Amino acid sequence: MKHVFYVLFCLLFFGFCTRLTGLSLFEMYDNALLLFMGLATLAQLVIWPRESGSLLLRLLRREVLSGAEQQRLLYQLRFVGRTALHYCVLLILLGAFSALGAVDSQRSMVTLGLFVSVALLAPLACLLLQLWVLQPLIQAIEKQKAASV
Amino acid sequence: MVKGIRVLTYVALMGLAFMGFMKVNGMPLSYLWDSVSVAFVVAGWLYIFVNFSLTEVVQAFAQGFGFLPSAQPLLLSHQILGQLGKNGLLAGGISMLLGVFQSLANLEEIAALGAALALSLLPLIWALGIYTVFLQPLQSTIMRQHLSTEEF
Repeated sequence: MKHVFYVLFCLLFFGFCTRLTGLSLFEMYDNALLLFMGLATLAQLVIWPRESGSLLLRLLRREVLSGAEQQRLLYQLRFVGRTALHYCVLLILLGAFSALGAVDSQRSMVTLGLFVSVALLAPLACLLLQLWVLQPLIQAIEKQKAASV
Repeated sequence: MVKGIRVLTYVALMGLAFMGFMKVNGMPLSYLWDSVSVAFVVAGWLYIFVNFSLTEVVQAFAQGFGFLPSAQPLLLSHQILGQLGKNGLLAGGISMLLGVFQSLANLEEIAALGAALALSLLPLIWALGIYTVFLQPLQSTIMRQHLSTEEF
């Protein structure tokens, strides 16, 4: 239970640091990005292996995994990180395609300026996923691996 | 049967995700189709046959879908799919640079510059899209099979 509170504290502290810069994470969203992220996450969940799900639950319950299980879960988590990074680049390219495609219209400069700011949201979401979800899980597995050597 | 439904659901959801993203950005999905870009990416993929035979490539795809588990080493199939994706990305990158070069060489038509630059991004979008949406999940399936048979 204390770990849950600690994670909540980390999230709140992160939110506080963002507020110090005069921004709010809740204001930083884009409908197209949210729609893509929602549907892509659902699609990834459809092909997510059931075994990795149960291993993840066991890791969250602080159970010690065997060497083979650690290796399989580690691969799956790194795969998620890699996929998120690739989707992030793909979203930037798709956003650039949409923005440049409309560049001859009257509002071209507004569109381009908006694109540059919105293009930063995909890497931001990717880094938040890495920092808040993937890295703590990978570190937990690596700690178990180191402890079992 | 269940696996087929899962694959179809995955493809449908990813298609919806791309369609939604483009629609909200004010572009129909059909704008992403450009035969020259796709031809460039396919040309990159064909380089896979320099090192691997057609049978090996077909078996790699079959193992990615969970068939023929012992037809060839799983790590070889993993490598083939990875190389295929990377060849596509390299060809997409080259094609993008050619497109940018051509766009910047015709700066007298400044109004068409935006559309030309947008078009030059398409090969990379296709290569990265196919690598991320199709080839990487297949690679991951093969690696999971390999890790479940490996002894620690």
